[in-house]
Amino acid sequence: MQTIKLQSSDNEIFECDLAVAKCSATIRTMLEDLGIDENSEDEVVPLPNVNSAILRKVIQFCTYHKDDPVPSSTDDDENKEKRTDDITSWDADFLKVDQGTLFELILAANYLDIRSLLDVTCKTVANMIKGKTPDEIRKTFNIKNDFTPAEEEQVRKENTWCEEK
Amino acid sequence: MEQNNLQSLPDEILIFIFENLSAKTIKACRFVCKRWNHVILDSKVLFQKFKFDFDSEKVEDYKLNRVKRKYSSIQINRCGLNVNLTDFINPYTVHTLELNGCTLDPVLLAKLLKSLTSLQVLIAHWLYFIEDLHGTFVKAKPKLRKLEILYCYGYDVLDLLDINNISTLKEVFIESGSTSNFIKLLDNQNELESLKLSEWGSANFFYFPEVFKFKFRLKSFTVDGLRMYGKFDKLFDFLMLHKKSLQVLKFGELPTPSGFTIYKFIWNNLSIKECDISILRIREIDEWINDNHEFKTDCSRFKKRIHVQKVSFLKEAFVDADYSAYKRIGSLKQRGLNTLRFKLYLNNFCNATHLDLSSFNQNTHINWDAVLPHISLAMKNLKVLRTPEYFDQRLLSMESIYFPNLMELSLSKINSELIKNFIQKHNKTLEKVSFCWFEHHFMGDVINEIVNCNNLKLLLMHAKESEIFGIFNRTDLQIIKRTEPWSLNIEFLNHTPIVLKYKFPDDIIYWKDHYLFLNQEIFNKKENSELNFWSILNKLKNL
Repeated sequence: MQTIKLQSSDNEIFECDLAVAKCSATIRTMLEDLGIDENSEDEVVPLPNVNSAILRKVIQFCTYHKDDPVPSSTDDDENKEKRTDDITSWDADFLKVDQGTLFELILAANYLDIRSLLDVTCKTVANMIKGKTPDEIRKTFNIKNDFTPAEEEQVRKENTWCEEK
Repeated sequence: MEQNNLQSLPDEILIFIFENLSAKTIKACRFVCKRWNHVILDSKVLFQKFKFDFDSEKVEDYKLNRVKRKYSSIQINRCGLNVNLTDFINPYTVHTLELNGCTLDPVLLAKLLKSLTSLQVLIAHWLYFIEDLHGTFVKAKPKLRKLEILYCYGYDVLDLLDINNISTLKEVFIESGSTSNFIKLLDNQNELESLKLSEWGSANFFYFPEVFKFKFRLKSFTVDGLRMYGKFDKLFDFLMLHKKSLQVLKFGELPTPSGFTIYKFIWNNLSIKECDISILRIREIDEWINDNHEFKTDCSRFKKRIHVQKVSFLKEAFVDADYSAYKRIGSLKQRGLNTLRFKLYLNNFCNATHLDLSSFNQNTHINWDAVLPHISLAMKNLKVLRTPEYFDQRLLSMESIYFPNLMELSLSKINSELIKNFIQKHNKTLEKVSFCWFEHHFMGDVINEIVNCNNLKLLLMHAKESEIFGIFNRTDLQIIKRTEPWSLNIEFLNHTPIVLKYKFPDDIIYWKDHYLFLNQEIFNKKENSELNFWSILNKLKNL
């Protein structure tokens, strides 16, 4: 089995299967386009935006999902309501982490371009928003309400004018 | 380290999260904070979940059931305005009106504006009027005696306004319409502080003598896409008039020369707090080259002084093997980026050794004939050059283009015979040349030039199945022809003539995506450090 070395922002080196690393479109691009030699022993791919704790989680996720079929790119249909109740129990367990870690995972998934991880993490956050009032949402994510009463009224007014399709 | 929170995620990810939500929840999200509200309003995808319409029954209800509201600010987004707003708002209290992407009846709009006597801010983004009805038909034009900020994109709203009675403007930007109306409007202003010219506005703005007699003095001046061909005298005169008050100066997307001329002018004459110059194309490249010395020293000075936006991904893309930046260009491409702006920020890649432009495609509008000399001038340490696929290699034959340390040249295809001049110029330093495919008639001369490079260690030819290697003219060698797919016939003339019919083994050549590669692996081993192209051929001979 071919392996590849990945280096986190805090300089920890992870050795993982090439197939696992290639779940990341970013790493795939690096290997293919930049001509990093896959066979070379001492080639290390630096990932300056991902720390070791997160990289460990990402590798865990990719290892579990490496054999998943590649989703077809028919999700262009913008009007299609996305489902958020299709998170598998493994993924749900995997994402039982504190908010900070969850957001770091999102950032890492975005940077490494791992669509499946980005999808499932964003869905998890969406589920945390669903069914809540604005005030509950603010409490959940520790967000400060920076609207003046007049601005809030403006949004209320605009919302009256807009219908849900 | 501060814990990451939801607010630290970029807008694009917030949108991605919101896309999972129903329209109802998104409405609730708008109340969470200003940022969320803006992200939702700015996203086309999220917006499509709603239908905005003033004519809807809900608005009728709203109109009938409520007393007139004392709004100070009205924003109307992407809708037709066929109801009379004054029926349910108190027009005297409105000081801000923002219209975004609305299709309007100009007579109704004029009527509305006329009623908004306290209006201070009018913003009209992409306003369209019902066909065949133009502002000129509006007889009683609104006066707007308190208007301070006027932003108009798309349609000439000035046609609708009584411009002679507007004299209180502080900030103005008008994107299109009649320049003489615009000049007339400006001529009435005493207190204008901020002026933004669009590409349209800059075309003939400075030809109006009134421009040099304006009573106001600008603090901020922005030009979006300067349409001026080489003559900046009038622009410079204008800037000098405002020299004392001017603090912020922005030139966006200069499509024509010369960024450097403007730079020098600013440097020598103005003392401003914030300056942003972005250069799309630099045609007056001779000046850059002739001023080589001055340019280089100025580079570092400018760097400190000039504020440059949105340059980070470009900057890093040019820095040796910055993988993350490479990815960023790739992902921008995926997100439909089709214009990549070249900004003047040479200093950051002056010392780069790798320049990989292979991800640029035809959609990244870069004027290579201007940019290349500029790159050549700045990047004297360049060792590796990869060119984009559509790139016209005749440009590389330009005399001024020379990289004294160039070791590796990667062309996606050979599309000009003139590339041989470039190779000849670099034949002392080039060690590795690679290309994917070629137009057959260029082949002989170019290959000849490549194999004559003194230090050539590797030649990668990725030939398409249907193509045939050309003839090498080197006296001791002839590669005659390929007799069958994936084999080469090689004849060494200075030895006993041997015809090699050889199917390359996997460790030398492998298949990938219709291309044939010589595997560079064999060159990487230490014992083969002496290996060059010729010993490879010898090795083949011995197989």
